[in-house]
Amino acid sequence: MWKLVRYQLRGRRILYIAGLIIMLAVTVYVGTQMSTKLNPAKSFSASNDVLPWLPICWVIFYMVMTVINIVTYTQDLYGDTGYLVFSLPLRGAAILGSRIVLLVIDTIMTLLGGMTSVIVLACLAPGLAQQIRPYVGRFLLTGDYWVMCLGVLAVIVSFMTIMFFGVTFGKTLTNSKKHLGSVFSALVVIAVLWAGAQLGTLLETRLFQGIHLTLNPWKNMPFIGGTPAVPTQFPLVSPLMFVTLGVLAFAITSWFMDRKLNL
Amino acid sequence: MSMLVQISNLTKRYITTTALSNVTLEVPEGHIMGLLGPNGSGKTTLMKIVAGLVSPTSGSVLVDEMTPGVGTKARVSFLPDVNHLDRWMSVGEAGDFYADFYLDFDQKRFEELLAIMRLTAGQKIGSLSRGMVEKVRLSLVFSRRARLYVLDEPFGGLDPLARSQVLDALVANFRSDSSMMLSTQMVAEVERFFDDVVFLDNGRVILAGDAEDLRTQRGTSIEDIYREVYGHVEAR
Repeated sequence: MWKLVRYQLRGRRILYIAGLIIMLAVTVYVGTQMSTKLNPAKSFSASNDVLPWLPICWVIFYMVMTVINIVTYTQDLYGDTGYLVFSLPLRGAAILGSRIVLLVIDTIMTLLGGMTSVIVLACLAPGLAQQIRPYVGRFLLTGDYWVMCLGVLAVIVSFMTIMFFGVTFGKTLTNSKKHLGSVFSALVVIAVLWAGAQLGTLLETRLFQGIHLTLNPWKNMPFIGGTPAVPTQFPLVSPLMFVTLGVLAFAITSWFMDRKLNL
Repeated sequence: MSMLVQISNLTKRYITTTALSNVTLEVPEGHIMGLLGPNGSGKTTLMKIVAGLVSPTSGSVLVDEMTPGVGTKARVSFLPDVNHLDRWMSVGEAGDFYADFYLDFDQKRFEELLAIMRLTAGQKIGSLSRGMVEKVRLSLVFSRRARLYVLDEPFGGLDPLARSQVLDALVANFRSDSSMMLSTQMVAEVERFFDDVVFLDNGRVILAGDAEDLRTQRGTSIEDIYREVYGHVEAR
């Protein structure tokens, strides 16, 4: 599996480099906007109009990488490169697992990139550095923040696994090289997500009422959560159900790849 | 004589079509089998099933006494009829990829074949002509010391000179402990290598046997038998 991850990373190297260069350019642009237009000493408090663009750009970067992940997987199933990947002496779980690992790598890269952006911004806009510096250490050690991150990652991975399931199921059942399989795949994904959401709501409101996870992820970063940051109640049952659905989708997709493949 | 491939009553149905119907055949160890038939006769589906890329609807398939899967993929060297290599790869990277995943890949042999085909490791797949990509793909497939070679239309994009180079390489590298299933429309050029031939039409085996026996019985070449068989089918 790791060899396949390495190969897929190699295939996407130009994309990663281009994406990271664009993000660096965006960061530098935002930083220079903050330091040239504004008084550096006031740059943080007066930066509300430019600063939000940075996380938005990182989210776009992450979404592009995620979409490419699913598109290249679809190309493998529907296009000619599938003969290269699916001829390998690897189990379906390893092929699918490599895609999940890629997603996690994209997530980590986005988080690290975001942190780097903050450091670059702090260098370019000293006011921001002064404001943030006292909180950085404590913030990075905030358990609630990392629990929230892990939860979000688990839900994203589950969501993507359901997407992979839909694509594989559509292809296996229709064996169509054309639009039929893609349309069917999209319908399967929508159906599974809709059913998952309905079931999650049902469990949350009927069977496990009042079960929540109370977290205060921003308690050590008062700029984000407000001062003082208020603990938030996060749903617990529906995300857990969604992750279970993801695990199930992984198992079924792997089985399809091993037993019912139709390239 | 041990059988490397044993196919019995194999049927493959899709939603609206039947690609293969009750196909039964065997490929003995050390033999080259020619799979012949017009477009849509089921050759590619049959090869994909043997390569573990398509699941059969019914019937049994054994490759080296195993059902197609992870185990057989390590022993079968499959060449599809389309370019399966990623365009971003260089020729050398494609070799590294095969070496990483297939334990039977012989890097030295790959380099030798590249030299014969006048290719270099640094060339990008995306920048090569169709014929050159075909040569890279053939070099990769023949650099594996596989038990079974499954080649679907391997000479499609090659000029006559390159075809002769590839055929020479094929003969020079073929081992008696391996077998080959080969589909081609260039029957005249390849038929001298066939030990066995199978004629498919509409997913059914319509004629099969030892190539030499068929030539002797009918007093003509395999290519002429092909014309006779499919001319007859087309006339129907």
